[in-house]
Amino acid sequence: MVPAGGYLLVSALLFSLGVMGVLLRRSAIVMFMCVEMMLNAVNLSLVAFSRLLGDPTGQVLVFFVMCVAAAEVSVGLALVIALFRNRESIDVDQIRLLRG
Amino acid sequence: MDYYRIAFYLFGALTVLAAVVVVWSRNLIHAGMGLLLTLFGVAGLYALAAADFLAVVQILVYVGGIVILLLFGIMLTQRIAGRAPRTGVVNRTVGALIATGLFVLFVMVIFSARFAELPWIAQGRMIDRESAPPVGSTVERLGQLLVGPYLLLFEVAALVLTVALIGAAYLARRSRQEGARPRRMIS
Repeated sequence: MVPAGGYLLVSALLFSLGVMGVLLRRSAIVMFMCVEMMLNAVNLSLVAFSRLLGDPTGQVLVFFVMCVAAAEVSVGLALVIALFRNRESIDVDQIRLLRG
Repeated sequence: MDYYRIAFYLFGALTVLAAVVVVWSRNLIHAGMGLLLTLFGVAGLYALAAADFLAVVQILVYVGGIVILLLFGIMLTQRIAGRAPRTGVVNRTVGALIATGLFVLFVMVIFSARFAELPWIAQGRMIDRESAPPVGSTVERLGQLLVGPYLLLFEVAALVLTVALIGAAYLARRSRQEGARPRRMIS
């Protein structure tokens, strides 16, 4: 048996690693990967609770999160590519036009 | 030790270790491969939590689609020839502190909440294999939910995806006057 805590612990670890990646990395693409990891962590706890309750509504929610994640990645990558075309770099430290 | 628990630990370890690779690897391609393994591990965990349809969708959409898209993004935005696509690490102390603090908070919440004993979870220990009733395929039930109570959300999700893809194609498109475009628009 695996209690709910097992799933939630994996989910918490995955989310924290995602936060750490967004804060630590400078490449916009790796930051995207870490955002995907955070979304997956939330999905994992939704699935675990769906199992805990015996109610598939949580899985419907995961389905919609996946849709939004796919949309987010496609728009985000288009932005990164447009940025690279203008700046020849996707290092977020060098994007400081709006810095005061 | 039963096979269910062994499989859970295997997939959980795979997920977390691959996530560590994503966060720490300097090589962008290695980070992409780590993300692939992370998503695969999460798909395995879905399957263990009786979400078979979501496990398949996870592999199709994430592993087959999003990771490939990200790898294309890496290839389009790096100078591949000559050197490996590498990237640095910043804010080491502050970032690690914030993430660790968040993790400690999560663990405290998980252990103090005792989810399995909450009154609103009627079938408290459903995840335990011994006490949980066997569940069949979730595809039929999910399909009924998606075209029943969640039909409007389903259609809105389709609209969101269409608009997002059109927007992405517009953003990533090369402009007509390629030569006239100022090279260094942003400082």
